[in-house]
Amino acid sequence: MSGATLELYRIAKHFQGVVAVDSVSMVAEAGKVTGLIGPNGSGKTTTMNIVTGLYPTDAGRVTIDDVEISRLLPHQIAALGVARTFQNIRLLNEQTVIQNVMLGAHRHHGASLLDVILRLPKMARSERQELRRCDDLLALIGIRHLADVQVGSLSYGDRRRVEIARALATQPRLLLLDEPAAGMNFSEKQALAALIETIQEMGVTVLLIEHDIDFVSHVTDHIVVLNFGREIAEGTPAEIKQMPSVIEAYLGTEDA
Amino acid sequence: MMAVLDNFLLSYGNLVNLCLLNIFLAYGVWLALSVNMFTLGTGGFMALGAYSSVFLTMHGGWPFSVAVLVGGLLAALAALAIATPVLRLRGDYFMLATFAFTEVVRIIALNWDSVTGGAVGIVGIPQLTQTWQLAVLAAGALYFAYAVRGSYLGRAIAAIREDDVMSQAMGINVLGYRLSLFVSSAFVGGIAGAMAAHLNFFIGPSDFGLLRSIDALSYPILGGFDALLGPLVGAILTTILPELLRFSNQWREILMGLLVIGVVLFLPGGAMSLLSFKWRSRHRQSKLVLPDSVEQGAER
Repeated sequence: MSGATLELYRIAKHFQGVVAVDSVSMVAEAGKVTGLIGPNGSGKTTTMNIVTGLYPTDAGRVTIDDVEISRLLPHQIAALGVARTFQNIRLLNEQTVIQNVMLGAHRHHGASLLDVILRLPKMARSERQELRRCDDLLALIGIRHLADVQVGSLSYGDRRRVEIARALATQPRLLLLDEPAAGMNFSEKQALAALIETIQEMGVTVLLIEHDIDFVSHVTDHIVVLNFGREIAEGTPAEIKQMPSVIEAYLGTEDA
Repeated sequence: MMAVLDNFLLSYGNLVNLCLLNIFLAYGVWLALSVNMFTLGTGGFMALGAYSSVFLTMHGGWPFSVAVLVGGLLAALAALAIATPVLRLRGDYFMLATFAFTEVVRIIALNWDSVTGGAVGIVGIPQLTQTWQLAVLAAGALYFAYAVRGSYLGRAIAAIREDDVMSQAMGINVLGYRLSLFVSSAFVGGIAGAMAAHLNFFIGPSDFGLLRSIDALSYPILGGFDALLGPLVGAILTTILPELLRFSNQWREILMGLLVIGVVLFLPGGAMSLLSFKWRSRHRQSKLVLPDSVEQGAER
């Protein structure tokens, strides 16, 4: 896996008069972790939904390694190597961990409908191959012992890990994590930070969307700050924490 | 009681045919239902298959098998034609749109006298459908469902049913799946319509209306569409029960109605959940024997 560069150029999204994203331009460089932070309602998740094709952008464009993806459907964007997790975890609770993770491997199955109907060897071969790959991923993430456990019975932190494992099973070049640390306790956050580092070492570009400025500062040295659907600042954690506009967005002003 | 038994035996051959036909149809509806498409278009697709195949065998002198295949393809083509607007709709609106399609086909059948015989229908259709043909179709549909369910395609279909937004993000072509399942479901409906038409001497516009669509939809729902054998069980139950209740014509439909309400209220998983209940609870228990792994996960 080698990371891809994600570039947003003046993307925008309006919902019946409500401006969710006004104009956002930013770059997530290949093989690096980029943080996208901002207060509630600043347009972080909408930005992510535009990148993954869930919403078409009203203006501007999105490119992955200079290939424009603004007009593509979500599954086409996924096929270009863009994977994501969801803010409100979206797993199949009735199914086991490995079954959920295997869903990420969907597009790598080489078997056609004919192979499946006639039970040709190709089906068993690709099934075995993907199962092994997903099993390795579970081991890497440290949840292999949970492979056959129903997702519904897992703790919050483990569900987040399963979602990340599923996203990695798609073999992404760009991974978008939507508030992965939300609701986690201190030790879970530490484990998550270590996991994000591992993912970066695999060569995957990571765009980390977060509410928690301290957590992001811990994982990355390049942060973009959104407020009211615009990017208001960009830089290293130390730089960002000094900027008046960021302090104002997060803490409010004295005379507000 | 003897009279009931005699009556039952007299119509036994016919009943077997009907059961097999409805099993085949049930798996066709299951294809659509497996991604939450509650289709009421089955009657319309059956009508297309029935009228076109009868026209071909009676007026064109075409071989039966080719006429049936053309009937199925015509239904599939119709599904493809209405797919663009219809597949955008979800839930109630999807049901209404497919119901409208069935109504349009029925009204065309009612008025296109030269081809469909209008309200009178077509009489004297050659009885070309044989029991073994229906058995092959039913077995083929069952095998198809079995093969797909046990593969990554089946996992994708189950995921689409639960959460189509997430499925798209996993690279699953949700629209493609919905389209192929809708068209395949129509294809099965068309074939079933053609077989049904050549099972009786007569077809009329009211044979393939809303009631036919609801009946077909009720097979997999009553049997349980989560279970492989659900559509089969549902089709057999719904085909045989009205015959068993034939001793009282007034009570027949009331009892059938009560049965449907009862299953929906008390067995949301369909009749198959009666069978799988035991197995499932044992399955759950075996999971509970290994709580250490769950606890480890919670501690972290």
